[in-house]
Amino acid sequence: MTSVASRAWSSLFVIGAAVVYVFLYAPLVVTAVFSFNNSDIQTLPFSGFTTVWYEDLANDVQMREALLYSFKVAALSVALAATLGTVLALILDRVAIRGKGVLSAAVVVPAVLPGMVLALSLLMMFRYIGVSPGFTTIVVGHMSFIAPIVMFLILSRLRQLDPSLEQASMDCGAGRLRTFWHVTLPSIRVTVIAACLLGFTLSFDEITVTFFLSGVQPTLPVHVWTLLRFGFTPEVNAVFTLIAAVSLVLIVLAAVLLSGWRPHRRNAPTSAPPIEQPAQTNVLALTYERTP
Amino acid sequence: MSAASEWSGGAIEEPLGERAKAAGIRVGLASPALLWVLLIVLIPNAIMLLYSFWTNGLGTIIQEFTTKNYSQALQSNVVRALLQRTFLIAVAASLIATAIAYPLAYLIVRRAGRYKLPLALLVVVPLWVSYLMRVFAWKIILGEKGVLNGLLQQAGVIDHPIKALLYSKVTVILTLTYVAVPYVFLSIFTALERLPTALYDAAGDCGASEWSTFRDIIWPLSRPAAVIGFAIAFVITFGDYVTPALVGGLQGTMLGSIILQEFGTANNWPLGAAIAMVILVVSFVFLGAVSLLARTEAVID
Amino acid sequence: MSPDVGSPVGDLVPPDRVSRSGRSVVELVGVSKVYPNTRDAAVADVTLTVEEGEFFALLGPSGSGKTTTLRMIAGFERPTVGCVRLAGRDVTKLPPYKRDVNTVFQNYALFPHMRVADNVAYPLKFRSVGKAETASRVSEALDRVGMTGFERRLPHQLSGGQRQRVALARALISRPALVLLDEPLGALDLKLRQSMQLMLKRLQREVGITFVYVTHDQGEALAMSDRLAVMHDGRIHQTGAPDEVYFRPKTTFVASFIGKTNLVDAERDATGAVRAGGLALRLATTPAAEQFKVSIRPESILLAEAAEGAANTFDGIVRETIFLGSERELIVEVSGQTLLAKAASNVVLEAGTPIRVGWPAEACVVVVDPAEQAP
Ligand SMILES: Nc1ncnc2c1ncn2[C@@H]1O[C@H](COP(=O)(O)OP(=O)(O)O)[C@@H](O)[C@H]1O
Ligand SMILES: [Mg+2]
Repeated sequence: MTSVASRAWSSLFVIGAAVVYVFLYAPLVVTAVFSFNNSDIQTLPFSGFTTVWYEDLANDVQMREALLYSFKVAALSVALAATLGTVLALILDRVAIRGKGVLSAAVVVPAVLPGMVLALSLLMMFRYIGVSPGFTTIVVGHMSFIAPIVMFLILSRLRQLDPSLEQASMDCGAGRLRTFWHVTLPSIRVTVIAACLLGFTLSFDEITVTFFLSGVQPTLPVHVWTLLRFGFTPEVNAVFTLIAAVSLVLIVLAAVLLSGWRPHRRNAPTSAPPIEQPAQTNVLALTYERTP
Repeated sequence: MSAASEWSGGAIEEPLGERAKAAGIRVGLASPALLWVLLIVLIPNAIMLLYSFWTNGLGTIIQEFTTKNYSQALQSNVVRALLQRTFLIAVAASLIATAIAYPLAYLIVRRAGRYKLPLALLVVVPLWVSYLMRVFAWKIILGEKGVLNGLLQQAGVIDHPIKALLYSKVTVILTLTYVAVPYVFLSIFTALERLPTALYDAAGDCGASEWSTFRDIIWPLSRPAAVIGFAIAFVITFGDYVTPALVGGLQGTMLGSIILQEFGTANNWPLGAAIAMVILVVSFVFLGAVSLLARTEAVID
Repeated sequence: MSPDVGSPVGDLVPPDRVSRSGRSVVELVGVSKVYPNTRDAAVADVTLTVEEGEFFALLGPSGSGKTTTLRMIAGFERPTVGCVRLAGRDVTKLPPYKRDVNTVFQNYALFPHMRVADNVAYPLKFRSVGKAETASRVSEALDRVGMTGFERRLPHQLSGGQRQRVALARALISRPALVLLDEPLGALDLKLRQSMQLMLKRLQREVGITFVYVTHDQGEALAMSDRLAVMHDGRIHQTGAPDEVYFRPKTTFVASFIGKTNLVDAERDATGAVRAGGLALRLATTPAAEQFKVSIRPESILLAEAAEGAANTFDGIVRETIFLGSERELIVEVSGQTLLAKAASNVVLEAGTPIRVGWPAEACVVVVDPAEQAP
C-alpha cells in the first residue's frame, strides 16, 4: 500500500520542482515582458504595451555598431576556434606521444579556468608584447575558450567512429591526406557545424573575458554592460530579448544537428554508412562547457 | 614507447633505428597542440605570475622582483575580508545550487517518464539566454520598485517596499545560485541518467525501500557527479564580477570587483595580478580538495 | 478455472497437474499488463500456478511477455488487471521490498561500488541479521556458487559468468521462498552456458527453493525445468511438464516453437474421418474442431519395415537427405505432403528412392491456432 506519508512526500517534491522551474524562468519572463512595457521604470503595475524600445534599438547607432562588431568578433573567433579545435582533437585522438594525459589536460585549461583569470593572463601577455587591446585581443580571448569546447565535441565524435572505415580507405590505396579529406572529415562535418553554432552563441554573449580585452569599440555585451551600470533604458530589455531569441534558435539548430536529424538523404540509405549516431546526451553536452 | 606508428591505427613494428625518427615525426605532428599550450596557457600565466612580482609606480610598472603585492594583498584587511566573503558566497551558492539541482534531477530521472528529456532541457535552456540578462533580471525583480515589491504591495502583504531585497550578500548568493543551478543539474542529471534502472530494481528486490536504495546505492554512485557539479559552480561563482557589480552593492562586493578596480580606476596591475593569482591558487587547492570526494572505485558499464 | 470463460488461449490451458507438494508458491490469476501509452497488452490474461520446490520455466520468443510476467511477480510492475498471490497471500499491490522474492536480473545488476561480499550481504541488511551470522551466510552463499575467494573483488573485476554467480548468491542469501531468474545465461557463451545450466539445476535441487526461470531457449527450458509455460504474444499457450509439452503440444505455436515438427492442415468430415490433403489420417481421438492442424514429430515417423502395421502407413518418395552426424534427416513426399523424418546416420537413401512411412495414431497431435479461433 502506498502510505499517505509517501504520497505527501511525492507531492511535496513535485511542488518543489515546480517552484524551481518558476525560479529558473521568472527572470527571463520578466525581462521579456518589460521590453514591451510603456515606461522608463521597471516596476509594477504595467503602464501599457509598446514596441518603442525595439524602435529605439533600431535607431541606436552605438548599439548597431556594437552588434556588428560582435558579429565580426564571433565570426572570426569561431572560424579560428573550429580549425584549431579540429586539429587539437585529431592530435589528441591519433598522435601517440609521451605524456598525452598531461597534454590533453593542459589543452583544455583555458575553458576551465575562471574567465577572469584567463582574461587577465592574456591581457598581461598582450601588454608585455605590446599589442594594445582591440579586435585582435578579443578574438584571441574568445578563441582560447571556444577551441577546447569544439575539441571536446569533435573528440567524442571521433571516438564513436568506426576505425575500419579509415583502414578500408587506406587499403583502397588512398593516402592519409585523401583519407582524411574523403572519409574522416565528412563524418565529423555535422559535429563541426554544430560546434560552430555553439561557439557563436558563446562568443556573442561573452562578457567576462571580453571586458578586459576590449579597446575603444565595445562588443554588444560590453556596451550593454556599460549601459546597465550608467544610464539604463528599457532598450536593454529589448536587446536582451532579441539576443535570447536568436541564441535559442541557434542552439536548437545545433541540438538538432547533433542528435542526427537530416531533412533528407541524397544517397540511397543502403550505400551510406551511418555517419552521425544520434545521441540524446549530446544535446546536453552542448551546454557542458559553457562558463560565463 | 611501444607504439610503432604515429597513427594509432597502424601496428607495424619498425626496426630499432627508425624509432627515434618516428618519435620525432610524432612530436612534429603534435606540435600544434604543444604550441597551443605554450602560447595560450603557459606564457600568459607565466607573465601574469611575473607581473604579480613587479610593482606599480605611478601608473608605470617597475620590473623588479618583489613579494610586496602578496604581502600587501594578504595583509590588507579589505582583501582578507573580501577573500573570505567571496569564498563563503561561492561555497554557499554552489551548495544551494547542488541542493536544488540534485533532487530535481533525481525526480526527473525517476518520475518524469517520457517527459524526462524535455523537462531536463527546460532546466538547461536558461544557459542560452544572455548571462547579463539573467543577472540583471534579478535587479528588476528585487529592486525597491521591483516586481517582487510591486506584487507584495498589490497583494497587501506590505505597505512600503522592502529595500533590503537588493544589494546584499543574500542577493548575490541568490543570483549566483540561479546562474549555477543549470550547470550542476547537467552534471548530476547525466550521471543519474546513466545508472541502469535495474539497480533500483535490484535494491528493491534485496529489500531496500526507496530511501535505503537512494542512501546505499544511488547516492554513492552519483556523488562524484554532484561533486563535479559543485566544483563547476564554484569555479563560475568564485571569479565572477558581473553579479556583485549589478546586484551586490557595497555589502555584496567580491574579490572580482577589487581586481576590476585594480585594472581599471586604480590602475595597479601588479596588485591585481597578485590577487588574480590568489584566486587561481585558492580555486585549484579547493578543487583539488573537493575532487578527493569525487573519487570512486565503481565502474558502470 | 472454468473452460468457457476467458481468452481463446485460456480455454486451452489445462487444469494444473497434480502438484508435487500441493502448496502453491506463486499464483497468477487472470493477470494482464498494458504499459502506459501502448495499445497491445504485453501480458494478456495469464493464469498460472507454481508449486513449492519446482523449477518452473517461462519459455517464449523475445517480446512474448516473459520479463513482464516475471516483473509482476517480483513487484516491479503492477498488473493492469488480475491478481498476484505469493504463498496464498494477495500481494498485487505490495512493493518489491515487501515480497519474499529475489530476482537474478538479465544483466546481473550488481551494485558497482560494492565488493562481492557486500553485494551478497546487502539483502541481509534489511532482515536484522547479526554481523557474525551475516559473515557466515555470505561465505556459505559464495561457497554454494563456487565464488569463495572473490569476496574483495568489485563487480567490474569479474567475468560475466562470475558476476552471474554473485547475483545468484545475492538472490539466495535471504533464503526466499522464490527466486526469479530472467534469462540469467543469455549473455554467456555456449560452453559456459552449459556448465552454468548444470550448476543452476544442481543448486536448485540442493537448496530446495522454487525457481521461476525465464528463457527463450527451448533446449534450456526442456533440459532444466520440472514444468514450463510456453508464452507467445503475451499469452500462455500451454503449461506442463517438458515431455508433455513436447509430445502433446496444444497449439500450432507450441508445436513449431519447441523442436522440429510436421504441421499438416487437416479437416474432419461428418463421419469423423480426418483428411489432410490426399492423406486419410487415423487419430487416437476424434477431434472436436472441423478445421485444425496435425503435428507429427519427425522422430515418431517410422520407415520401411518398421512402418508396417502402424495405424497410418503411406508410400512416399525420398526427396532429400541431410546428414547431421548423429542422425540423418529425410524429406519424404507423401501424396503431395512433404514430411520430415529421421533415420540413423548409417542409413543411406538416395533422393528419389520410394519408401514406406508410418506412424501410430497417438503420434498425430491435434493443434489449433488460437489467433484463428479468436472472435
Ligand atoms: N516498459 C515498457 N513500456 C512499454 N512497453 C514495454 C515495456 N517493457 C516491455 N514492453 C513491451 O511489452 C512486450 C513484452 O515485453 P517483455 O515482457 O520484455 O518480453 P520478453 O521478456 O518475453 O522478451 C514487448 O512488446 C515490449 O515491447
Ligand atoms: Mg525479457
